Amino acid sequence: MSKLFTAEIIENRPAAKDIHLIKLHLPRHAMNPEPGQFYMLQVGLHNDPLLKRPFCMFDSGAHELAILVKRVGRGTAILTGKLPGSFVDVLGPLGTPYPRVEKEPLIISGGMGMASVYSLIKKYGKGCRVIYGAGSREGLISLDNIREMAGEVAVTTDDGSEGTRGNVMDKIGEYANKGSVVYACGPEIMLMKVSRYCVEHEIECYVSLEQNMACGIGSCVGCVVKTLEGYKRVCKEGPVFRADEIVWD
Amino acid sequence: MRTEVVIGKMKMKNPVMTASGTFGYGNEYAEFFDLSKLGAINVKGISLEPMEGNPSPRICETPCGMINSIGLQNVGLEAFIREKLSYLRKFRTNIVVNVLGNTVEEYIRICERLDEEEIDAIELNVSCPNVKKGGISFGVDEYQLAGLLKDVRRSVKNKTLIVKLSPNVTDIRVFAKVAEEEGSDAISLINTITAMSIDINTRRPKIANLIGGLSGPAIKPIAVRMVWEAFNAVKIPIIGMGGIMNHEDALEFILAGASAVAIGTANFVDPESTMKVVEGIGSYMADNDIMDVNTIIGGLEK
Repeated sequence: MSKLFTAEIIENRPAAKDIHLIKLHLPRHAMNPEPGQFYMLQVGLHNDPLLKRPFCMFDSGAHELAILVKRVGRGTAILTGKLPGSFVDVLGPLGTPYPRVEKEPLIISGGMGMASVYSLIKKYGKGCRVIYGAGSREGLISLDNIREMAGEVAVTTDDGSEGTRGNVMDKIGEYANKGSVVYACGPEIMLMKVSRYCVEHEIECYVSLEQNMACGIGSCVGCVVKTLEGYKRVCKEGPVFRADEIVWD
Repeated sequence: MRTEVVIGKMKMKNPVMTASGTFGYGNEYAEFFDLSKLGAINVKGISLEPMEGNPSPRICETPCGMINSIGLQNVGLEAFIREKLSYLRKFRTNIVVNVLGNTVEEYIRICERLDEEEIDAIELNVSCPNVKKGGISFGVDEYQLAGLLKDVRRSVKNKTLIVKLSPNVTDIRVFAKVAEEEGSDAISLINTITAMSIDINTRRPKIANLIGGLSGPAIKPIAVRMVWEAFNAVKIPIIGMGGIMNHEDALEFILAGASAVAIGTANFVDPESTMKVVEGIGSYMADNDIMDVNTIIGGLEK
């Protein structure tokens, strides 16, 4: 079963400022991605843009894959402008998912981190708690759904427009303990702070990292992160890593 | 229809191989197609000792291309022979091992070892800095290149010796001739072109090492020109590469004088690229009544 296929865009709508929710119709064999895995999408035609772009599985259903796309450059501008009915070349699912751990899941998301952990919240449902941070209320994607799915949700915003004014680190002490397993995705600075907190308090923690990628299958060795065992590939050994193995600069 | 080409002692069932550093050690691609269908597999460059590579970011995209500075991360010679080579030998194709060194002695030690192993060819990456000569790379100084090849040629007795030329020189013909005069069986060109890209918002370089190598379709016309120049300067076979994305690109290189072609960056864009090039060359030959691919090598009409 090849991981390489062509998929039709069946929905493309704004989900927040500069962020689109894109749904793709997938062939059967490409289904069943695990939370934390990602797909590479070819957004350009005729070598421009050249490389595929990686996107986490946000949600999946029967023959459907949803991704969250933030416009950050030319590739994502082209992708968010594509109309339903158009086709894209896709490679996936790729990468190592969030591992299942027999502890109480605490899921921490900052901003676009929801693109990766939404499916994890869906998987654990009432069995998990969530700390969800963003710059402001407009950046909180699918908050109503998350409140409905998860056991408990703490919201933080930098400007106080929703939930507690501040960031996820203001809530972590209240929610995380030695019986927890923390899964986190968000800006690098947030992941660094969450990791350091968890290492210091002996809490098992996994973070999903982002890096420029060329191939997505482990061949180019372009997307590495520094770990205690040397450089590892975000696309292959990751994107989910144990927090205590990452060497933060 | 004959698609077989010969590079030194190496017989390739078709003129398509992979470019070093773009195909790992093969295993990542085996789930996409049967690697035995390739003319040859060229593996990621191997050094005497394992190399950790450069910090991130290591790659960035540029118009119709990418810059990389991986820093030659690899498992090292002994681990390659022990762990990677036996896997690659399962496929009925030629294995080319790209080798790198920081001194002439390092190149010699790797070549002597590989000359006794079950491989088909050694490709010298001469774009590495010569640490004993102030860090200038072997491949951009014709005298250093000649010196290196004299010694290496003596250590490579059983295998085909290929020299991969750097395009970062004033006249590629000079270096092609040095390779031929010093007994190289073939030359491959071009390696990446040194390049740089800057994020104007952060004012930082887009790759941590500042300078990297540009590859992809952006460099193809330069590569075709250099293959043509080298073809007119030497008689040894040429492996052409630089931005080949499909069989049309590959055929341009063959018409310019390449006896074989290597697919590089395209492996990152589409893991089945090499297969599509093999099939595309076959269709082109059928459509144009070409019975033997060798008859169109250097077949540019002027």
